[in-house]
Amino acid sequence: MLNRLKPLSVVAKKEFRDVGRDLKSLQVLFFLPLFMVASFVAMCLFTLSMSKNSQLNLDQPLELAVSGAENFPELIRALAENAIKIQPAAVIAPGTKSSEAVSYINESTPYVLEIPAMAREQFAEGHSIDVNLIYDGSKSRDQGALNRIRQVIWGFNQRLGQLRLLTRNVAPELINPVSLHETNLASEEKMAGLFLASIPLLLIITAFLTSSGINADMFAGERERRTLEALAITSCPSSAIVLGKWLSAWSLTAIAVTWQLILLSCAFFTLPLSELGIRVSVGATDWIIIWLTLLNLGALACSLQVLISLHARNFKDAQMLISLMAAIPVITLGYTLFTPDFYASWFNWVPIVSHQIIIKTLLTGQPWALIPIMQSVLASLIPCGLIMYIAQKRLRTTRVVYGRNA
Amino acid sequence: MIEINNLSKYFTTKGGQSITALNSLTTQFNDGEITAVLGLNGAGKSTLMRIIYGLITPSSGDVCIGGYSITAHANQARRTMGCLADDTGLYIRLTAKENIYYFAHLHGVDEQTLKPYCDELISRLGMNTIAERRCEGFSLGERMKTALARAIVHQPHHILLDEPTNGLDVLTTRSVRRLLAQLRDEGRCIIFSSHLMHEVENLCDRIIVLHRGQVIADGNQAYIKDLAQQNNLEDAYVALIERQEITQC
Repeated sequence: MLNRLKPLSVVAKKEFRDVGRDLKSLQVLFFLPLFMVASFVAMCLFTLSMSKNSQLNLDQPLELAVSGAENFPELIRALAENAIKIQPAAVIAPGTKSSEAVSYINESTPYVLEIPAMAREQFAEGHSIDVNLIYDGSKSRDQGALNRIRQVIWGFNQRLGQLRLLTRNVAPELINPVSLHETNLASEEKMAGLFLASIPLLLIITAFLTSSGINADMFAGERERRTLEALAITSCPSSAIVLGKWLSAWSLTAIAVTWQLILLSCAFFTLPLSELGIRVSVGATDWIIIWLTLLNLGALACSLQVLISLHARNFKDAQMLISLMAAIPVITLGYTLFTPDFYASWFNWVPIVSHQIIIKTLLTGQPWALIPIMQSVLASLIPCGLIMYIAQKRLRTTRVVYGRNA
Repeated sequence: MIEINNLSKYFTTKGGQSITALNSLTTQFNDGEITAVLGLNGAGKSTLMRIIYGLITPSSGDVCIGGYSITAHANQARRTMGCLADDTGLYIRLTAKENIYYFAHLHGVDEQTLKPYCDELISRLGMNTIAERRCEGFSLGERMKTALARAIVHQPHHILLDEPTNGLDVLTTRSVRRLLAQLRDEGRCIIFSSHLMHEVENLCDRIIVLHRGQVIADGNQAYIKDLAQQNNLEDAYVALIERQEITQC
């Protein structure tokens, strides 16, 4: 048995040494997981900053530049009651075009409320008054403050309307035939699930793509450099050559996946996710299961890449075809990301989908079961074994060793 | 000994045209002999070599290497073979020594035998200065020396060399010649393909001239020269090819 494994370890060791000296492969190995986790961290920090901004706007006094404040003192009073400090603004000339209104806003006055000169008379006569809120919608940081101003004006509007109806002996409920109340039952874990749905994609892409360049080089690259012929002429069994190369690629995937999970656990530990209403409770067992799930998927991905690399016309072709493989998890996960509640039991038998389900279940703290995990493992290992069998049978064929033009 | 029995190989082009690379070839390569296989481009040399390596399946016939059929017992046959293929590549991120060791390990050579023999090969091929250098940036001669050492590091009984002295300097060419002569004297079977007639003249005991997939001459140098009625080997080779072309026309 040991004698049978020796050629396999010889091939795997050589591949490790070869990759270890290839700076590009090492860069992919370490930077792809880093990039994926950095993207997640950036997304979290951005959401957090947005959330903080909107909180800040609701809690703190707000300054609002008003043009023509003296024309509608009732509205100004309502704004002041809601901690909105009124600043006088330059009078906007009647009939000013929207393209010219830009000159009224700047860094210190990001938005202006314009009250028309006829407002007092219109109010007295019970007509609707057109007040104009001028702002730059591309500045996302002002959105919280603008929403607050809108809410105050809508509140004032509603209160005033109700008072007017009451003075005319009309019940205000008549204009609100439907009253909507919202009850959000989503638990923190469920909210986290929504937010964390992107993580399986990041993890699966890493498991899928880390070794793509290495695998493309292992057969297509070797054929181009004419080392595959020399390798095929040796008495080393085809199974040892194919498995040895696959093993080294898979081990490198394992290193990348482990590195990514370490980075991700650090991100979970340091990021103030609770401030986003997300509670992530991933225990050591969960991390181990996620790791094994990704290794399982990595095994299938590596075997597919080996097969592609064996049959590709040249190294470039192999790289292109293997890169296209990235579309498989992206399409699958994209679909499930937008239809999170769509689930059928046969999903457990579909590689990638089943892996995503397991990872998502564990990340969101839902209880996991052994059977779906085993189904997922089998769904990957059986095709992986079949592919490796085909690959080793094909290795010493003329087309694989010498290419299509042999 | 390598026996070629009624070997034929036909290729079909994309246009559906059939090309005969080897046509009912029967010959044998004896132990203790260096046999040169000569032929123009497209004569069938590479196809013959690749069939012997077991990487092209013959259309008919068989090759027996040391008693093992390459189609039925490829791995046993390959165990006795050391091959230097045409334009062979090296692992550029490995050193010359690591390349040689890798192939020795693939052939299952144990460490105790490997180290002294590898050191001897490195020394005999004048590779001492490049042995620990990575192969990236090697000259043609340095690549050839490494590939040659790699091909024979497991001390195979059957040695197939495609243009082994290509790109080598005079001193290394001489040491390769001496090495091959020694291997022949040890009783090994060596097949040698080259376009350099003086190399063939200096090294080979027997010459096989292939033309359009068939053997048109097979014998020692004197026989070939007699057959072509020429005084030197190059002229004899050219005359034989031309005669064959005229006959076929």
